[in-house]
Amino acid sequence: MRIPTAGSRLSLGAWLLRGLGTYLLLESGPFLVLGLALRKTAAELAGPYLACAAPAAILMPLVWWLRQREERGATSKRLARGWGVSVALFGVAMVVAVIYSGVKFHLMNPTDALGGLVVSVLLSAPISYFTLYHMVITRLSSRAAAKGDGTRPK
Amino acid sequence: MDGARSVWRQLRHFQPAKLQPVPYAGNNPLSNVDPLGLDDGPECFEGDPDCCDGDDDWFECGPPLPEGGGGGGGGYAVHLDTRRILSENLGLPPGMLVMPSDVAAMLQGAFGLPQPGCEFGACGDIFGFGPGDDGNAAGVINIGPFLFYVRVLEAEVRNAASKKAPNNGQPQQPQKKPCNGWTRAGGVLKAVDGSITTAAMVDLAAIHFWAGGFIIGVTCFTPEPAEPVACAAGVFAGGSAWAGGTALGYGAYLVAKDEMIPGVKQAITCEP
Repeated sequence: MRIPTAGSRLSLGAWLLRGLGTYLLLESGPFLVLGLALRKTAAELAGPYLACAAPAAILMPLVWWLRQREERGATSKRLARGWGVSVALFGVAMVVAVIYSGVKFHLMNPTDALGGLVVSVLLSAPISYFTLYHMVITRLSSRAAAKGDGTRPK
Repeated sequence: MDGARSVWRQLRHFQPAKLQPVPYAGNNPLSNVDPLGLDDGPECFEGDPDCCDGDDDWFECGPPLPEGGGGGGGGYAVHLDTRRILSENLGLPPGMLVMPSDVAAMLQGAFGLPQPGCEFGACGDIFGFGPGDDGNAAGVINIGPFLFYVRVLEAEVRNAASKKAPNNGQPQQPQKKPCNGWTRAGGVLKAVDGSITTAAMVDLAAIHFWAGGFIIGVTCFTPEPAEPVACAAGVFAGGSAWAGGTALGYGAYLVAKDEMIPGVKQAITCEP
């Protein structure tokens, strides 16, 4: 019997509702602590909160789409590239969100933040792309080997 | 991932004490007892009730602990006993502070410190990962913001000190130092120090970014069937790692800008 995956089991709306809901709930904890520690109002916290939610809002639909493509039999390399680009996008969005929050909370100098942004983006994008690319290729190969079809990943 | 795992296994079994071995009592003759002089490695010694059956090495079963839980001394410096350290810092008598071992382990993990049975970073069931390689990735998440805030604090203290400098309200004039070999040497030292710090921060940032990608990959890609809640939790944990990496990247940029480049300039132009 074939194991059902998210592609066949959940619609995009249901996936986002559960996944993003969980993420936003998890995110509210640290922001509550930050608000108390830095004595910020809800209005001051709203911008950084939304900025830090944006990376998840970008990544979660991409994950759903990638699982759909996997269901439809996309090649390993295409899937690996898709995962790499998605997580690199997530990383860049997260770097922007964290630096924006740092500036908003007066923890970072705005002029310095620009240099920090460039360094962090240059570091994060290739690392995340290659981490996920390598991981997906490895796992799909071992999955194909476990099934015993003996074919190399496409 | 197999390559990374094998490197990790080698790191786990790396024993610093063996770099300059003293045959008696596992390179720690003040703390360990080896009356027959037969123990030749950093294995278990008298006074350690839980360890060893002969096959386990120090990395698996931990260092010998002092009896009674307090008093310091004993063991290897790498392995931390959170309960003892907290007791000593709070001024409590030995054995008074009762802390569940998992809380102690989580405290150590939260600061990326070695945990019992897992010498580098956090391991154990933190962030929902089981014991093993995956859990270790979680341990490094928290170092970045911690280092970053230390850096911010340092900058604030420096600013406050410069503002409070007594000068009758007049802006301070930079004092011109004579240009000589010492000035250049100071610049070289500053540049070297800044380079090492920058490199270390870039390295740590890279680990954070790698850990973030790894955690997201494990939680969103592997489970069958795909589970949105697990994926969201992974994205959150990965995001935390990214936040740490970002903070470290920013810190590396600051150190390079404020220490490394001025040091190089001072070494070349002789202007402090």
